[in-house]
Amino acid sequence: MSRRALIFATVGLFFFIQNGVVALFTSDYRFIEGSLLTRLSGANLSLGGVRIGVPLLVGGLIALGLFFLLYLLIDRTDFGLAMQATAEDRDAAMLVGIRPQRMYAVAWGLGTALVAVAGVILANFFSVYPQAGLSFTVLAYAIVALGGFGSVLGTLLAALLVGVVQSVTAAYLPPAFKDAFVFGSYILIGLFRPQGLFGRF
Amino acid sequence: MVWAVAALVALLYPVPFERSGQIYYETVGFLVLLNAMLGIGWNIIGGWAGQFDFGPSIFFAIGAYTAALLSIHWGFNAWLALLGAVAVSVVICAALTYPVTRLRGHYFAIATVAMWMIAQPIGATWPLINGSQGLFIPVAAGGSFVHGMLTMEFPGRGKGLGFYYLALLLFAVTLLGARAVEASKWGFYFRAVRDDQDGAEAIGIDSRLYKVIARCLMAAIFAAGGTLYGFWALAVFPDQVLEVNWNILPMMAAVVGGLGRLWGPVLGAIVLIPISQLMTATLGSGPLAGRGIDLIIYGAVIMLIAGWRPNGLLSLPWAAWAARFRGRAPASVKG
Repeated sequence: MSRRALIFATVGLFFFIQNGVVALFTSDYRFIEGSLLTRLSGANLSLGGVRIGVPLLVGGLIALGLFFLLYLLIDRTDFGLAMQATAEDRDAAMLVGIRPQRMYAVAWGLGTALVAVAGVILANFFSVYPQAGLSFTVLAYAIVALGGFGSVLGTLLAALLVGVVQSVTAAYLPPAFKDAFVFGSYILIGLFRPQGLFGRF
Repeated sequence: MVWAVAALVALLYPVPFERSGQIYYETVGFLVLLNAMLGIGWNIIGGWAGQFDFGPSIFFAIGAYTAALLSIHWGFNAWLALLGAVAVSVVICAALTYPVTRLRGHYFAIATVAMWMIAQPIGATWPLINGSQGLFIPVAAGGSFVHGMLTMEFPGRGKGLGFYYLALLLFAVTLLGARAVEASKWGFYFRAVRDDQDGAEAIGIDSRLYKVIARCLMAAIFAAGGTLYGFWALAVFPDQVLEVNWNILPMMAAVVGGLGRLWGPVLGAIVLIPISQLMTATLGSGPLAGRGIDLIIYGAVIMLIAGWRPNGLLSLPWAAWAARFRGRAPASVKG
């Protein structure tokens, strides 16, 4: 399947799954109760005068840990090397014996799994409903593009940057413009650095 | 020959519904033509120039709001307002797009999404366009069909019929214009940039300029569509004109019908829009209503097309099938 067809296939999948969920579970807002993170809520950690909520901290640490594992996989293993090779030049990768279809399948599955973990963590802080993923998805697109396609470190830095921008602008600008500022920053940075911070493509 | 039949069908389509009083189907026809027109516009930047634009609805909104403002505050006639809307939209598109043409491929696509996301809070809070309270377009009561065509006002029972023919007119103009562009030098430049940007630049084609031109053509068509929609809905709200559907449907129509083919978005719109309307009509208010079944089918159709016929429904061997139906051998060996 060509790259273009893949993009449209995933858009179709998005419609299919999101509305499948609507059909099966209705659009009601639901909340999680009794999970580890919700039981920890209210607990705070004081670090040099700054108070950090424990549930958010734990969620953040889990995500950070996964980032590290992903970085190890992509950068320090042969399998990761094969994936990078396929991304760079699919035909050359085939010539040295890598199966691109397998790389694509694993990459896709891995990505979906990571997003699922993020969803589980976020479900502790936000209500659950079929359209919940949309705002995070669009933000994720901007984060990856900002960090640069193909770079794990870039994504991490971009995510931190976006988080900071969001929080700072929420304090000083009308809250409706919180996301708009993030996207504005993306366009601005994109003008000076079209491939993102650490982009390889 | 086929075109003559198609034109006749399009012209006479509302007649049976007028006689049976089922005006709803005229509105379905209106939506199909509107989305087909927008699809043709999206096809220019997405199919011919190969730059995917995931946020074209900002120009739909700019068109609708400009036309509404011109009509409300300065009493512009609807068609003059449409011209004004197209002009404003093209200027804004050129200003916004040129800097962004530095970005390639996915980065460009995400920049278009970014623009759409920035437009949303602007639309909801800008006092000039009345923010989320929207603008209401005044309409005079009465008036003949001809008067309606001249002012885009069809109050009362004639609305479905009148707007169907307005949409048909704008769609025909868009189709003929797109056909002219496709065969012109611009069309070749667009396709050159799509197929091999570096190669095109090597022979002196300014890829940034032609990406801007392609996107401005799309912006013009979306602005005209937005104007038509504004006068049809008689009110312009940011949530409605910046809705994600106006981003996705024209693109899906182009993809399902045939990306890069002139009639692709038309076929795609004819396939996709009635699915949604049919679902609404048959499921009505039963237990399955409001459960997004139509969008589930959309998703399934898109995945099917992407997997089985990524070049769209137009790439099916229609000519061979027609020849076989008539009992003659097909013109080419490929069946």
